Parts: sequence; C-alpha cells; structure tokens
Amino acid sequence: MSVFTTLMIAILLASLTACLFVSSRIVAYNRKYHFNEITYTRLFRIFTKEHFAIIYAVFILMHSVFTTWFLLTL
Amino acid sequence: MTNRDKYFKGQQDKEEFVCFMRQHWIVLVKEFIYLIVFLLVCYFTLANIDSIQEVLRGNREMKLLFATAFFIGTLYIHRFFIKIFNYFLQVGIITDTRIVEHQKTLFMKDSMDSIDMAQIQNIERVGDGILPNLLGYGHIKIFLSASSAVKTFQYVPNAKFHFRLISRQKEIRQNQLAREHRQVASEAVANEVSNLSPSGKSNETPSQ
Repeated sequence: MSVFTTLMIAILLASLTACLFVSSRIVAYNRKYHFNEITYTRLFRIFTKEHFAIIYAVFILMHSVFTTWFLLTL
Repeated sequence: MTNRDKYFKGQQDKEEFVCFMRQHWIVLVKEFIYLIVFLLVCYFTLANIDSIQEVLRGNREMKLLFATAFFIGTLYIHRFFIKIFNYFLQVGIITDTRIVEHQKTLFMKDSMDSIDMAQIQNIERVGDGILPNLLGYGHIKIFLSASSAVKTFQYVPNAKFHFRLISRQKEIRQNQLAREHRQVASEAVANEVSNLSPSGKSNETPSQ
C-alpha cells in the first residue's frame, strides 16, 4: 500500500471517528436538555439539530464511499 | 412532582419554564455562503474526477497536494457541522423566576449565567439597521438594579415578542415578591400584637 493510500485511509478513519464522537456529544446533550422545539426555535423554521445530525452522518458516509471508490479506481 | 431538571439541567423545583430562544439564523449566513462555495468545488472535482486521476497516477508530488487538499476539505466539513451544532446548543431560557443564558459548545465551552427577574431594572430592545428591521431580530439589553452590570442577548429572533415576554415576566415576579413581602410584614405585625398583654404592656419580663 502506498503512502498516499495510507494517508487517505487514515484521514477517512479519523473523519468517521470524529463523526461518531460529535454524535455522542449530541446524544449526551439531549439527555440533559428537553426543550420542546417550536417553529421559531428551528433553523429556517424547519431544521432541528437532529435533522443536522442525520445530514452530517449522511455527508460523512458519502464522503467515505466516494473516497473508497476513488482509491480503488486510482 | 417537582420541576427539577425537567426541561434543562439546573431548573429548580418550583420553577416554571416559559420558553427558550436561540440566535437568529443571520449569524450563520457566512457559514452557508462558504458551504455553497465548498459544494461548488466538490461538484467540479467530482465532475472532472477522471482527469484528476490521470494527473495523479505516477505523480508523487500531485498526490501529496491532493492528499493535503482532501484533508483540508474533510476538516472543513467537520468544522461546518460543529458550528451548526454549536448554534443549536447556545440558548437563552426564560422561566417565571429568571433568565438563563447558556453558552455551550460541543467541546470547548459550557457556561451558564442567570438573572433573577426581581433584579431587573430596565430592559432595552435595540434594532438598528435595515436587516434587523426587515428580519425582526435585535439585541436585548437587561439592566440590573443591584449593580451597573448590563446583560446583552445578541441577535435575538422576534425581538419584540421576547422583549414583551421578559417585561411581563419581570412584572409578575416583582408583584409576587411584593405580595410575599407584604404577607410576611403583616404576619410579623400580627405576632407583635398577639405578644402584647390586655393592658397594653408587653408580656416579656425585663432583663435584670
């Protein structure tokens, strides 16, 4: 395995770990704080932090998939 | 059943939660503009991925450059989402007895500052500029009676509504405390009267 591939895989794994860590912090926050979200507290009147947690996870997943495909086809 | 920690950590037993607020979305506009630029760069990269792979094959320096750019891009994605989560975590809480400012981030900050409604002397709503007037946000300044300190809540959405809400809660709280004070004072007077003898003299023996 080349240095480039090793580096890319290391970045990918660090990214996935960071995503998991951030998600665990959000879950820990939700355990202590139980605010009822209304229209005026949501971002753009639609999005809550749970929506963004899902978008974040999907983003990182797509990032991982594309990077893996890129390395395999290089 | 008490209200302790019912809605937020630190909520007191008899404290009633009224509402909470976050900053207006205007504070995130810069981040979303950067995100759009980043997504455009990603789009053009993916659209020309075959050409990029051709350039990278067998070229060590270009691979290192690409790895650096990839690392920076990955870092940016995480930074963007962490900023969004930090926006959601920073709240101002209004209860029947106090206003709590909770400045929290995912990793670096966690501080809480509360102001008793009874300590509020003045409330000021500042909405200068085109955007604050069009979008309805502003700053709310709270002046305390005990000191010259001023507490400012910045970029409060629907500032008029929150200004009215805090004013009303302050009035209710101060009236409640005034009633309790009058009740305590009248009980103290009643106790004094009941301690007096029928001749009008105190029942207490003088110390020798």
